Amino acid sequence: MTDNNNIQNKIEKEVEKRLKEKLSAIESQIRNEVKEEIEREIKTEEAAIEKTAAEEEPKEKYFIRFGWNFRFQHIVLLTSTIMLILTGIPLKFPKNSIMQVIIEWFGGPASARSIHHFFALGLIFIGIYHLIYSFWSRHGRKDFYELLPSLKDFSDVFNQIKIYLGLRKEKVKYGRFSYVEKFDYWAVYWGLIMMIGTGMIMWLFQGRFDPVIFGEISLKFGPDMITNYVHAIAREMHSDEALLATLVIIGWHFYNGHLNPHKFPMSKVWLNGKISEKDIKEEHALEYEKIMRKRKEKEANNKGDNN
Amino acid sequence: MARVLNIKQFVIFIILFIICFLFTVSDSLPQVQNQKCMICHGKPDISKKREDGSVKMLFVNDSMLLHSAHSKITCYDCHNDIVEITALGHKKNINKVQCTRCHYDNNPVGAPETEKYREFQESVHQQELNNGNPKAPVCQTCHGSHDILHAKTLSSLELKKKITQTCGQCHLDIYTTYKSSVHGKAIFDKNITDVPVCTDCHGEHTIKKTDDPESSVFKTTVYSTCGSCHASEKIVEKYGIKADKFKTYESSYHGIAVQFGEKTAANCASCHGIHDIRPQNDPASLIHPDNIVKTCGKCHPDANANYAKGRIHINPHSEESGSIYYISSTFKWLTIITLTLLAIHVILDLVRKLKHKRAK
Repeated sequence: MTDNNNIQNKIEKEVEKRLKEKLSAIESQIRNEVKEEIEREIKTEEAAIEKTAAEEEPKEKYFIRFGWNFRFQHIVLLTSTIMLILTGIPLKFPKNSIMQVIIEWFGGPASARSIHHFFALGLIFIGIYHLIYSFWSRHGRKDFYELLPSLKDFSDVFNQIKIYLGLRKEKVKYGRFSYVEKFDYWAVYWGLIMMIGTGMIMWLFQGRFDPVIFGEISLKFGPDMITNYVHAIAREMHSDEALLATLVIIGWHFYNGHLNPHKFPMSKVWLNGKISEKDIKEEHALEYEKIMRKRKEKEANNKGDNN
Repeated sequence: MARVLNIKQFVIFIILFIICFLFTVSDSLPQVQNQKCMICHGKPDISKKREDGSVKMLFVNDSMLLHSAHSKITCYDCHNDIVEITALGHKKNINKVQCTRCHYDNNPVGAPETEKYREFQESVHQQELNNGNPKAPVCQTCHGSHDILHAKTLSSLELKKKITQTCGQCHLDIYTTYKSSVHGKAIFDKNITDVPVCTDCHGEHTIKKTDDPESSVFKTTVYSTCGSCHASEKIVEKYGIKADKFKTYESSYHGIAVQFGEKTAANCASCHGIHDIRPQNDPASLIHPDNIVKTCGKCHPDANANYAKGRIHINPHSEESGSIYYISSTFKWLTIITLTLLAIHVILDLVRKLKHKRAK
C-alpha cells in the first residue's frame, strides 16, 4: 500500500516540476513577443514624430518674396492682359479659322469689342493703382527703387552671357530683382503707356465707349479732340505694339516663369508669394545675404536688449 | 430580158426625182413650215386685247426669226399646243412657251443645257414666280422670244449696254441711277468695257435677294465682289485707281468686323454708294469732302468735321502713307530686334539649364 502511495507522490511531484518548466518556457516566449511589440510601437512613434518634424522644418526655409498687394496687382494685370489679347489679337488675323472661332466664342466682333473695353478698364485701373502703390506704400516705394535699372544690370547681362557660353564659372549674384525681372517690369510700363494711350485716342474718336456691363457711354467731346489722321496713327501703334507685347509675353515671360526646366510647369511665387531658401540663394544671392545680415543684427539687438 | 431605160427617159426620171426631192426638202425647211403662221403674224398691226384691257402686239418679224439662235426650228416646236389652224386662226388662250421643253439634260434635239437652268431655280426671280408675282421674269423676259440671240453674236460693249437695258425694263429707277454713276458713265459715255454692269455684281441666273447670305452683294460679302475688279492691278490701275483699296479695307476695322460676320459694319457700298457710286470730286458723291461727315454720320452719330481730316484707305506698308508708314516700319524693326535678342537669351538659358539637369 505504502509503495503505491509513494509512487503516486513521486508522479505528482514530477508533474508539478515539468509543468513549471514548460510554463516558464512559454512565459519567456510570450515576454519576448510583447517586448518586440512594444519596441516596434516605440519605433513607429519615433518615426512619426521625426516625420512631422521633417514636414514642419522646410516651412521655416521659405522666404516671403511678394506680399498680397503685389500678388493682387499681378493677378489683375494678367487677367486683363490675357482677355485683351484674346479679344484683340484675332483682329490682326481675320482670315484665320482659329481666330474666327475665338471671336465667335466671345459672341461676335461687337461683343468681343465690349469685352475688350471692359478689360481695358481693368488695365487702366491697375495702372493707376500701381502708380499710387509705388509712391504711397512703403513696400511699393522700396520695390520701385529696387526695380530702377542700374549699371550693375548691364554688367550682369554681360557676365550671365559669359556663363552661358562657358567662359565664366562663378555665379552672378542678383539682388531682389535680376535684369530679367527688371526688363519685364519696364516692358509692362512701356506697354501700358502705349496701349492705354492709343486705346483712349480710339475711344474718344469713336465718341462712344461700350464696356460690357456698364452699357454704352457717350464721349461726345471725343471727336472734337481727335482727327481721323490722329486716330489712324493711334490704331497703327495700338495694333503693332499689341503684337510685340503678345510675342514678348508668350516667348519671354512664359519661358522665364513657366516653361524653363528649372520652373516647369510653373513657379508658384505669383500665387503664394513664397520662395525656397535654395531658390533664393541661387537666384537672388544678394537679397538672401541682405536678409540674413538683417536677421543677425536683429538677433544681436534682441540679445543686447535682454541683457 | 430586162428593159433598159433609154437616155431620154433617164433624164426625165432624174429631173422628176430632183423636183420631188426639192419639194420634200423645202417643205421641211422652217420658213416654209412657218409660212402658214406668217399669213397672220406677218402683219405688223396684228394684236390682241387682254382681259385687263392692255394690248399685246402679236407681230413676228420673219427675218429677225431667221437670224435668231432658233432659226432652224419651227413655230410648232415651241408653240406645241397649237395643233389645228383653220382659216379663222387657232384656238385662243395658248400657253406660254416653256424653254425647258428642249433645254434639259441629254435632250435629243441638241438644245444647249448648262448649270444655268438649274441655277435659276434658286434665284430671286424664280422665287417671285413661285409666289405668283405676275411681274416676275421668265427666260423670255431677259433673253427675248422671237429675236433671241446667242450672247456671242454681240460685241462685249453692245452686250454690256444691252444687259443694263434688259434689267432696266423692270428696274427702271435703278437703271437711271446707274446711268449717272461712275460705272454707268464709263460704259455709256466712254465705251469702257471693263466696267461692271448689273450681272457682274448681282450674277445672272444665280441672282439672289440682297438680304440672302448667299447673294454676291450681301452685306458681309459684297466687298469681295467689288474686289474682283478693285483688287486687280490689271483692271483698275489703267484708270488711275489704286488696287490696294481692297487690301486696306480688309485690314481696317470695318473690313475686319465684316470678315468676322458683323452685318452692321460698313462695307464698300455703305460709304461709296450702291448704284450711285460717283468719283470723289463729284459734289454729289457720298465721299466728296463736303459729304463725308454726313456719310460717316449714318453709323457714327457723333461724327464731325474731324472725321474728314485724314485719309481713309491707308496702306501702312506703302511709303506714300507718310507717318503711318514710318511708325509701322519702326515697330516692325523694334519687334524683330527685341524678339531676336530675347530668343537668343532664351536659347542660351535653355541649353545651360538642360545641361545642368542632366549633370544632376
